[in-house]
Amino acid sequence: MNEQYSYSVMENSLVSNLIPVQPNPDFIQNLGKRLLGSSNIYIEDRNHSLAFVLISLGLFIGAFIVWLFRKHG
Amino acid sequence: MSEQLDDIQLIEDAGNGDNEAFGILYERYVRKIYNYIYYRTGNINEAEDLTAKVFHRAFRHIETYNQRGVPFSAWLYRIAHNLVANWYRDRSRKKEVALDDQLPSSFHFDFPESSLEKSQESEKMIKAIRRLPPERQQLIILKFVEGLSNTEIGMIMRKSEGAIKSLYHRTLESLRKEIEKIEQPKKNEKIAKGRLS
Repeated sequence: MNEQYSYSVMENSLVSNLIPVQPNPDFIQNLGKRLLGSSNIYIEDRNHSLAFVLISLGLFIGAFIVWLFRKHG
Repeated sequence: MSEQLDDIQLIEDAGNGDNEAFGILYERYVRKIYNYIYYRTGNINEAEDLTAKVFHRAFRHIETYNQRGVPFSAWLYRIAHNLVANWYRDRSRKKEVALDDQLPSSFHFDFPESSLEKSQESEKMIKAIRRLPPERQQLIILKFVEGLSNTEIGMIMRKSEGAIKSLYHRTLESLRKEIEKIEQPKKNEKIAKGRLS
């Protein structure tokens, strides 16, 4: 009974203290504009092909240099 | 129910590139998502930043939504929950502040009646809530700030209604203990003062 009472007091306190807040209307408006005006702007995943080409090229050049040193060394 | 049906139509239209449809969904849910994030982070700037991220993410992935089988609002809350969790993780890595006890500076409400007592009670309650594990904080905010039913909360948290009820009782119990912990030093202080005088 006592526990029930304590829960009920706490629930009432939660109801009266957790009041929904009003966000800044400018923020809501600006975000809406940004979202709906951004149909052509997407944050795309990085293009990995360039990184792949560069790493491959680096490895190839490295291997070529090693080969050159071995050949002339 | 009609709102639900409306949502389905709007989501379909938004998925087909109808920005106006997404705009209506945005207007319908932005304040709820903002409130959820605000009470989870306790910071206006973070609430704005993360709310923007939620809707940008929803906008980009709206075509994939239909396959998920949950209400649109639940989908948005899940995105918000994940972003808040990431935010906490990043913050704890940076170790800017101790998360346990810190009551964010922006968590000071202006009550119309300017009642100091009410403000103190509110801060105590918020402080106690923020000491709870994230899952329990989420439940309290969804129930009391957003006014959602156990079924709706269950959809967001991927739990049955029964599991939510049980979690709710455990949450109230731990909240009571946290409030007691916060009140105890003040009580001791009063007793000490009483002895001195």
